[in-house]
Amino acid sequence: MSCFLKILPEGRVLKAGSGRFLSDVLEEAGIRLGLYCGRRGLCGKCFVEIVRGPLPSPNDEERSLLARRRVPKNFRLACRYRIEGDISLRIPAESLLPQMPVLSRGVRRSLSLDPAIKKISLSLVKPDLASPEALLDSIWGRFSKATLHISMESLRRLARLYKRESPDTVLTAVIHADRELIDFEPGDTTGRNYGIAVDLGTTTIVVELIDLNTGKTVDTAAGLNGQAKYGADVVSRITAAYTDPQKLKDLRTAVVDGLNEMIGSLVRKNHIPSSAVYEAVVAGNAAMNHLFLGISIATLAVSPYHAVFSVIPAMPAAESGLAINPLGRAYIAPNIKSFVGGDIAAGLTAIDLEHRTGNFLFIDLGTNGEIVLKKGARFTTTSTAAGPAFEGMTTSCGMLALPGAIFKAEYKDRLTVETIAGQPARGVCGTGLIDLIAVSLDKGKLSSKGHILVSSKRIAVTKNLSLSQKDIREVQLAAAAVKTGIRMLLAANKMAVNDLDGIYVAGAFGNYLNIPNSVKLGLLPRFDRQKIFFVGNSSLAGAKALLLSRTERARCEKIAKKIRHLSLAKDVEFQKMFVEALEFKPWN
Amino acid sequence: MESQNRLFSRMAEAIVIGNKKAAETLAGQALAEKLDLHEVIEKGYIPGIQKVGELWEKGEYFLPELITSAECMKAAMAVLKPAMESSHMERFSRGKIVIGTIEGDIHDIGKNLVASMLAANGFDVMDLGADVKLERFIDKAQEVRADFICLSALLTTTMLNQRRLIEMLGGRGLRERFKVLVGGAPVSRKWAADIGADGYGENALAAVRLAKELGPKGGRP
Repeated sequence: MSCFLKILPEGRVLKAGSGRFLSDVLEEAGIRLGLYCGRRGLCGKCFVEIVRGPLPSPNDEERSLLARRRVPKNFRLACRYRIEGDISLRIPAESLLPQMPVLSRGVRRSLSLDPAIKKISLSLVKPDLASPEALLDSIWGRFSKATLHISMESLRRLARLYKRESPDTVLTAVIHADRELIDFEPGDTTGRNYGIAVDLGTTTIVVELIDLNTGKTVDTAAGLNGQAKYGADVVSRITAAYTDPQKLKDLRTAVVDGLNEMIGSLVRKNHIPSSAVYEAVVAGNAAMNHLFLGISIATLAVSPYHAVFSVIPAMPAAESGLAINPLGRAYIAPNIKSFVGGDIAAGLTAIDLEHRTGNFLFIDLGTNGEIVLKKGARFTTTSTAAGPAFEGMTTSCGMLALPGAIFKAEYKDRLTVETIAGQPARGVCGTGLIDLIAVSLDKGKLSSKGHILVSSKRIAVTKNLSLSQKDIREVQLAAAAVKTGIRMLLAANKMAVNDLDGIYVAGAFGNYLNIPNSVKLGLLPRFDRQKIFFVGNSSLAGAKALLLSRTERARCEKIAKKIRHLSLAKDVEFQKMFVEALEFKPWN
Repeated sequence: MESQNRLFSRMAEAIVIGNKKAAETLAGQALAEKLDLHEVIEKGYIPGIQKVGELWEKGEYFLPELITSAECMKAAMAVLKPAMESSHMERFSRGKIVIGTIEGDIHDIGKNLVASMLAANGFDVMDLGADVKLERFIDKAQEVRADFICLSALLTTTMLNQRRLIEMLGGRGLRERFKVLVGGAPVSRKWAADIGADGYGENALAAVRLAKELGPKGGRP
C-alpha cells in the first residue's frame, strides 16, 4: 500500500510504501536530515513535526528526548517513524544537515617549495631532413634524466600539439616527481600550476586551492562529510561498508561528490580551469582514506583492525575520481597503523615533530582522539574513542562548532556564554561543554564523580539548553578515553608527564580550548601552559606541506612506517586506568 | 536477632559504599558466629548490591562505584566460600552463565562489568574474555551445562557475530538448550529481537534483572 507525504509549508508531495521509515523516504527525496547517529534513534537530531496523520506513541528514548528538549508532543524522530498512513509534516531547520562552512585553521612553518608537479616550457625546433630526430628524443635531450616514464596519453597529446607548419612549437611538459611525463600543454603555461590539499575528516572536510608556484593558498572551502548520513562515527561507516558492498560504493560516491563540489566551486570562483590543477593530496584517517578510494575496510572492521594500505604512490587523478586534470595525480597521506591514518601522519609533518629535539605529545581531538608520543627518536601512537561527545554528537544539546554553538562559558557573578558568530545559542560544542562542566564543578553543582548535585538533576545553560546526567557521563567517558590513552602511552615508554618538553593539541578545538578547565576535568595533564601549543587543523596544514614539498612527502612516509602502535583495549591495565580516569580531577 | 539484623545492614552498607575491608571482616564475623550463610548472603550482601543498582539507575553511581561494589561483593564471597564448600552446603547460585566479548572484538570493559554484577548477584559466571571464537562459547556452554550464553559487542561490525552464534546454535540443534543474552553499545532491543536472542540488557543492571527473570530459578529472590 502506498501513502502520501506532504511536506509543509511548500506542499511537496512524496509517495511512500507503508511500513517504511520516514527518514529513508525523505533521504531518497534528497532531503538531507541530520542522521548523525546512523538512524539509531539516539542523537535526537532528526525530529519532524507530524502536522496530520498517524502519531504512534513515542518509544522510551523518544519520550525522554521530547521531554528534555521541550519538543512539542507531535514531533517524532524521522528515523524511528514508520509510515502507516497519509501524513503532512514539517521539517524544522535544526533537523537538516547544516550547510555552513566550518572553522578551519592551519599552522605555518617554513618548508622548501618543491612540489611533485613541475612544469617546464619547451621550444621544439623543427628537425631538418639531415637529422630527422624524433620529437621525444629532442625533449629527452633537455632533461638531465633521460629515463622518464611517459604515459601513452601524453605521447598522443605531444603529436597533436606539434605544429608542423611553424618553425618552432612552444609547449609545456608536465612532470610528476621527476619521474614521469604526465602531460603536454600548448604554449607556456608554467605560470599556472595549482594543487589541492584536502583534510578528509570523518565529520568535516576542508579543501584548499594552492598555487604551486608560490606555495600560497588561493582559497579555502569547508563542508560536512556527505557520508554523515551513514553514521556520525567511523565505526558506523565501516559497518555500512562492511555489511553491504553497495554501501561501500555509496560511501565513496558521497565523499568524492562532496569533494568535487568543493573543488569545482573553488576553481570557478578563482577563474582557474580545473585542468590547471595537476595534483591533490588527501589526508584522512585510515577508514576515510580507504572509503575515499572505495577500498574494502573489512580488515579494519574486526580484530586485529589493520589497514589494507599504508604508503601508496600517487595515483592517476582519473582513478581517484577527483575533478582535477584527469592526467594529474592524487596522493593519499600514508596511514600509520590500525585506525591511525594519514591525517595524523600529515599532522606530524605539519608541525615537523620529527625534527624537534626532546619528548613531545601530540593529541588530535577529532572524531577519534589520536595521540602520538615522541620519546627521543621513538614514536608510539594510539587511538581512543573520544570524539563524538566533543563534537556534540552524543550529548543531548551538543552540536558542531557552527554558528550558534556555545563555545565558551564562564562564571562572573552569573553564568555567561559566548556563541560562534554571536548568533542565538542553538547548542553546545566541545569547548563549551568543557567550560560548562568546569564551572559546574567549581560551583558545587557537580561532584567530581560526575553526579549532578542540583535537585533538578539538570545543569541549566540557557533558558532552553541544559546538560543532563547522561551528557555528563558521555563527557566523562570521552575525557577518560583521552586521559587513559595519554597515560598508557607514557607508561609504555616509561615516562611521566614531567618528562615532556611540550604538548601539541590539534583539532577543531583550536585556540578555544580552555587549558585550566581542560586540566580541571583531567582531559589534559597539569603542565606548563607556555609549553602547550594549539596547532589547529594540522591534518590540512600537513596535506598542504605534502603538496608543496617532495622532501616532506618522503619524510612523512618514513615516519608513518616507523611509528609503533599501542592497542589500548588489549592492555590488562587499561580497564583499571580507564575506570580511575572517569573522575573529574587534575592529574600529572 | 537485633544484632544479626544490624550485622546484615552493615554488610549491605559495606557493599554500597565500596568498603572492601569491611565487607571481608563482616563475612569473617558471620563465620565466627556460625550464622546461616545463605541468610548472610541473601539478607546481608545481596540487598547491598541491589541498592548499588538502584543508585546506578538514578544516575548517582557510575562505572567506578559499580566496579568497586562488585569487587567488594567478590571479596566477601571469597571469605564465605571455603566454609560453604567444607560443609557441603548447596552453593547459592541463580544459574550458570558463559559470557564473553564476541569474536573480532577486543573491547571488554562493559562485558567485565556485566560479568562482575552477575557474579555479585549470585550467578555462576564463566568469563571467557574478549575476542572469543564462536565455537568456544558453544563448547564451553555445553561443557559446563550453562543456562545462559551472554554475548557482548562494542562495534557495529562485530555485533554481526552475535547473529552468527545464534545461527550456529540453531544449526546444531542446541538453540533451546541455552538462553542467549546480548549487549554492548551498538546493540538494541530491536537487534536482539531481529537475531532471535532471548534478551537484551542495556546495561549491567538490566542484564542482571533479565538473567534473574529468565533464569532457572526465576522467581526466587
